[in-house]
Amino acid sequence: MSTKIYYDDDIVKKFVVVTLIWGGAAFLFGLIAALQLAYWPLNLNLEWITFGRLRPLHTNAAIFAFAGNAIFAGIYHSSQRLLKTRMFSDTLSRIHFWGWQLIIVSAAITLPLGYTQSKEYAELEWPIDIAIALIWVVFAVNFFGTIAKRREKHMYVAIWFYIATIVTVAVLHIVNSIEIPVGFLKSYPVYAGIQDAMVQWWYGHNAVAFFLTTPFLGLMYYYIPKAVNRPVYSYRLSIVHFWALVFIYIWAGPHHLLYTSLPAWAQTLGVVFSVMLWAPSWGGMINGLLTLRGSWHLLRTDPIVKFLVTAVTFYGMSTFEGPLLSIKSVSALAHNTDWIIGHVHGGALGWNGMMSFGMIYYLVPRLWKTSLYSVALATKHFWISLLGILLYYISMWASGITQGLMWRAVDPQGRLMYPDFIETVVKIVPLYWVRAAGGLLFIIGFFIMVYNIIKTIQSAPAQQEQTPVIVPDEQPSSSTPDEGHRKLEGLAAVFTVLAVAAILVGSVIEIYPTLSLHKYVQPNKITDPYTPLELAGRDVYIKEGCYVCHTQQIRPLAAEVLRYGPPSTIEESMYDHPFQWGSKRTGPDLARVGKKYPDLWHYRHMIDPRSISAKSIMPNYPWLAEKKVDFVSLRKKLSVMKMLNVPYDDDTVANADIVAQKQAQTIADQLVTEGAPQGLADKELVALIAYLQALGQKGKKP
Amino acid sequence: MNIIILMIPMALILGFGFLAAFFFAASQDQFADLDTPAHRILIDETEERKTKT
Amino acid sequence: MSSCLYCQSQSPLGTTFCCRACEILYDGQFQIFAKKAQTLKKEKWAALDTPEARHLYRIASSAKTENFRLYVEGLQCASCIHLLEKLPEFEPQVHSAQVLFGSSELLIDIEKDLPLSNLLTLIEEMGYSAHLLKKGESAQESWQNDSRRWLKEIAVAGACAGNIMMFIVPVYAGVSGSYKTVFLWLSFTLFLPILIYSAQSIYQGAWRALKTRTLNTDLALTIALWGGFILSTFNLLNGSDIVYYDSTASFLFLILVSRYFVKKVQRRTLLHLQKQDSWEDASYLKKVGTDWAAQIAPLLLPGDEIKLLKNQVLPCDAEALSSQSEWDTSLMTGEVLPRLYPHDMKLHAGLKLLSAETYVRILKPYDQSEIQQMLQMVSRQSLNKSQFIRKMDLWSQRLLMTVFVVGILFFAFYSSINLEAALQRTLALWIVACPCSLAFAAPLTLYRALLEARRRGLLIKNHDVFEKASNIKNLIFDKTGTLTTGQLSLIKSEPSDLHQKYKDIVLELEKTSEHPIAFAFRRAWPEGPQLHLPVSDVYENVGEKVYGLLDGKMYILCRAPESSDMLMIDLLENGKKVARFSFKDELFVDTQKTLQTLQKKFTTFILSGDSLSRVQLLAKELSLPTEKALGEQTPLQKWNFVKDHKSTLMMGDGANDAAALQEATIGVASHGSLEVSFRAADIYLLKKGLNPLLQFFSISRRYQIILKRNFILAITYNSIAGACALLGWINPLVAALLMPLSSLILLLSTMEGWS
Repeated sequence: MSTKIYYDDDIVKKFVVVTLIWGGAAFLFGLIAALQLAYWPLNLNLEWITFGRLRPLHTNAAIFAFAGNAIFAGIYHSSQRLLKTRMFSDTLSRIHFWGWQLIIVSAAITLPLGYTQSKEYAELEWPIDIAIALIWVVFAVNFFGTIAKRREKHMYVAIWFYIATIVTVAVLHIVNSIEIPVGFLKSYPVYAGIQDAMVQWWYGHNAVAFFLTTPFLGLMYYYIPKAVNRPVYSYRLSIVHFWALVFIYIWAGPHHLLYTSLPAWAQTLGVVFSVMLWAPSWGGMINGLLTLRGSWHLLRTDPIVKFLVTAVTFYGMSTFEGPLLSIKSVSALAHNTDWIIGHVHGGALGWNGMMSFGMIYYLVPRLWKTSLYSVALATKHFWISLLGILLYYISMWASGITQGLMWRAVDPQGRLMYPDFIETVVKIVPLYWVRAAGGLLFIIGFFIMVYNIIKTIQSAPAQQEQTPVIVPDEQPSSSTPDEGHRKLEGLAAVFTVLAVAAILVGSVIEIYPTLSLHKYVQPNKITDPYTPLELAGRDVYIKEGCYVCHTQQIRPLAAEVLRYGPPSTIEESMYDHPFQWGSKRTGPDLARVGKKYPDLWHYRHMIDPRSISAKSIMPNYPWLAEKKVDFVSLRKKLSVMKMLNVPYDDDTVANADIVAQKQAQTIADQLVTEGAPQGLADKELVALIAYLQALGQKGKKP
Repeated sequence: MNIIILMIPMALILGFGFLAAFFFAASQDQFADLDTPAHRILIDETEERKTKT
Repeated sequence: MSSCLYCQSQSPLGTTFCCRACEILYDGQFQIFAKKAQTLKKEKWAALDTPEARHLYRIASSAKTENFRLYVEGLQCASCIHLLEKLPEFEPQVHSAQVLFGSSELLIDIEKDLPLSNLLTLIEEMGYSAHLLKKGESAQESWQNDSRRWLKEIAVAGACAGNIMMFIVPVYAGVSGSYKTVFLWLSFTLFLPILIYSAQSIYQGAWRALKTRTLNTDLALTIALWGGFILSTFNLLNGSDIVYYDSTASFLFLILVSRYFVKKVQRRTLLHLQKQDSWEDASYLKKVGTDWAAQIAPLLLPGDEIKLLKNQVLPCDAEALSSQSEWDTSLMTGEVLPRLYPHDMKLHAGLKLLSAETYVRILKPYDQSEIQQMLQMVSRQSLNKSQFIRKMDLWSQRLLMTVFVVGILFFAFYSSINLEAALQRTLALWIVACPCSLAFAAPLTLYRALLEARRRGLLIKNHDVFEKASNIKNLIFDKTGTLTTGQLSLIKSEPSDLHQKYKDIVLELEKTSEHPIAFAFRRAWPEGPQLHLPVSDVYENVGEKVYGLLDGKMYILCRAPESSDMLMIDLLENGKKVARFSFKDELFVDTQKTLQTLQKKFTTFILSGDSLSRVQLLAKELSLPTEKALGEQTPLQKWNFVKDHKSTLMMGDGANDAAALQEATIGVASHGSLEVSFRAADIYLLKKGLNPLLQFFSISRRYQIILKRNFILAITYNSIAGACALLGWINPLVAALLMPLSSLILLLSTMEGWS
């Protein structure tokens, strides 16, 4: 009793091809961004490719376009084989494919144009957010449909990793994307300040966990055994570490917010759970590596195995480094520096990149029914990209630790040793060149692979006829007779658990009113909301991606207080929809930059930063003095803010544009008296200056 | 910090969702045989290796 | 070792494939194979096609199909799984096939009119030997039900403990106000599923203890669990944040996990017990009227007349109907040489027929044969044998008693000074000092020892052997199959430069013989006959002589007159001796070396059913005092001998050793032992020879050291933690750190120092 079926390999081919296309794009964006940091003129005075807009494009392309499509290729390929059935619906597969590419294209258009929510790895604006949710649901239906019609009773561990990915990513994306639109491509998140920070980094960390870790572990558990033709070292361990991982990962998010104004207990929680992650992560790594027992010789000869094993090694390194970085004292040094960038790329290039490459080298010859064009080229690719990653990793470690140490260096008199921030930048620019060189090598390797793959596909027989697969007719029926009882028992248990969960949620909601709304806001320190012009300026700040290089969160560390002023408080960002705490200090912190310099300083700094600080690596923003502020939409924006509990009075909302124009005129006049040209009153630059001058000025002193 | 009013239920739902999934898996005997599956995936139904000598 | 051409797994040197499955799959001709397989003869399994037999083995059935469970020997690699699961493709009447690699089982769902003989023939043709399992016979089956429950209990405990930690860590880290209240109550709520669901099996154990008016670890755990819960909840209601939900929950989780590990190892042992009697589902020819019909052994009845074929094993106790037949009794007696039984002789089940077909009459049903009875008796006894658990309970009881008494005395004394503090501290004492870590470390040490034993080729059935090992004074070995391979080897030919012609004549004469001497000749001259001599009219007078004609001369192979034990064989040419061959028992490679090491520490004996002279010969070879080498021992004598010598380790393999193995302080069944001795023994060796025995003693030594170390650690922890609790120094944070820390230390102590 067996049936002939055909797997849908066409969809896998499609995803493989786009993985290569978008991978190339993502890596090139990364290389340009790296070069821009090393040599600022490469920002080319073009608003669309300044670093602030290019970096989100790079990260989104790398995560969602390159890694995303690689994951889909692997999932569509391995799931059909693991479940011994064709995908649930070819139509849904195609909708998923084309929908996802459309999302990527729209991201590639909107991000350079400055349409962004400024939440890292969730920058895309609300229509695209909705599209992502819809396409993800299509994918989920297709995947669970496939599971439902599977012919293999046991679900291999990879499938479990895929399930966790699909479910959790959906929840994360939806929760983090709750936002109120104010225009076709503009919205404000419902969360503000610390709340937004919590949700964002809960999302941010788990995006790493469930988009870049669990699916790739699933792929690892399929492709490594296949590549070395050996069963996984311990299937038991894989099951145990899967369940341990999904139970722990979700709680590590707050380690991104150590030393911020997040309450200490929440920070501690993040640290404890991050450190606990060590165990299940290494369980996975050990299991992956030991699968090669007795086949280590393949590491010498087979480039696929080289890639896969190196990927797992990098996974081990990153998951060792992650908990280390989330220990508070380490975080004090490393946070906001390039060390984090190095850590991320160790994971992205080493783990996700190498894994995807290994998988693609495995897949392409099999999908196109031919053999790899050149094993020698694949081996070259491996060594070149490994060298590239190491250069990247090491230069960023050096740069991050150098910068971190310089920031905190204090002389015996208790003064900062490097009070001028630019000193700490100039010092690491050479390392930026090394990093760019590493990236270049990685890309060269990648294009060798693209060439190799193109040649491979060209050598494939023109007639790509599908090979049928013979599979059992039906799901193997269990031979135990008391099936009914057991099902009941299972159902009862599931029901109990769900009931407990429901009760818990219910009680929490009941408790809600008893919690004071602004528990952590001290009543004598009420904050003023931004003026309409400041809000417009803030939107310019977001659009230009200033948060990419400037934080707005002063940590309660001696050197930081000396450099920037008193630590940031919860109140100061309580009306920030979205929060602008940032995560990286390529430039100095801006939380208290308001009133520090005259308006003209800001004007000149925006037009040409080097007229203020000769060694600055910040791009020029001349277009800010030419583009007009969108005063008209301000009423809408303020009313949305009001809806989100920002205390604007009705008058201000109704006359937002007039109020803003008035304030703009005052600033423009002042600028003229200081020596700036005429006619800036309706320009974005004035709005931005208004916002920058308001930073750190909103909290009333007791 | 009101956000934890949202995040705690989210975490509990996810956590207990996974627990429910574990229960479901256990009752489906997904953990009954942890030796065969690792071997089973190694050989595909279409035999690519036939040609390789 | 070379690697298999198909699956690349290691295969014996010189073979292209590791198994038949790989060969079939490599050829890619399995469709043709399947067709060919359908035409095969299936007489061997014919008896399974009777409705009774089919009914006997059926596990479940639906309208169209029936389920069967098979034990499949010879599963090697992924290809084996793949090929067997392709059965539906070969045989359309098979609906599904699922391999359980770990337990070597195959679950199949077949149409009602597919004869089982077809299926088994097909599987055999694939290169496996398969046996049907009766319902309830599968170790896998019963394990599944229990394991499902345990896993769920562990999962709930783990998930709840993890989530409790999520809410308690903020409390330690200083969360305040309404958040704290919410977090504390959430941890209270999350503790309930542990209390109600996960601890069920612990309550059952505690209940057993109460019923028998004893103390056990389960009772201690219950008290710690409820003590923690009550104290925490009491404090919570009084607005204090002194709660122990996290420490108690994570503790219980760890204990459940370690218990699961132990059960898992026990189950692995059970899986090996499952090894089938190889003759149970074989077909026997039973006389029906004037015809012969196939029947399986369990369905044979007293009075049935059976035609036994060469090499078949006698399934039931029976009497011989043929005039003379030759039997291999080594399974039962340890005798190397075959025995001749005349007409009317009572034959025991388990004998293997060496001569041509023989007629017997069944005397007793299958399950009442002597061997089956012994088997049942042995397995009943081995169930009551686990001293280990009792011993652990004793330790825990004493500790528990101490903790209780100390707690109560303290309360009585301190309550007059400060009632509430007295209550708090007493309960804190019970929570931290109940012998939980001991309950957790001891099974884990055992688990580690069992694992280590398995890795070194020992299968431990009775867990107390590790403790008994230190008392062992005497070692008693069976000969055949234990010290020797059970085969003869040719040690001397006279003349030493024997002409190839005579070698060939000997080989031609012994060509079809199943006699051990014949095997010894064939092994000694593996190149086989070279000259292709037309030896004719070969006749074997079984157990006596072999005759044959060549070029008009009569050649006879017979026992040398000087030899009492047929250890010397002469070749006669027309009545004149032309060659003489001497044989001896073949030793395992490591026997001599290992025995020398063991003799230094233990008094060593050999007890064998084989002839005294051969046993003495062996003793000489092994430089053992001859008075310690006893031959011609009956099972009863062996049993008595063991009984008279206290503190003995007995190692043997035959059914005649079973009773002695059972009686010995430690019974060791050597590799490849007969089912019955395996069941009677405490240890089963997975490797040939004596070396695993050395390993056993070294593991036992380490086991004892680690157990002692753990015990001291646990006592130390308990004294310190208990004192701290009474002094009022234990707060939840200290408990949360101390309890897992103590288990971690014990865990490390348990895992350390094995290799």
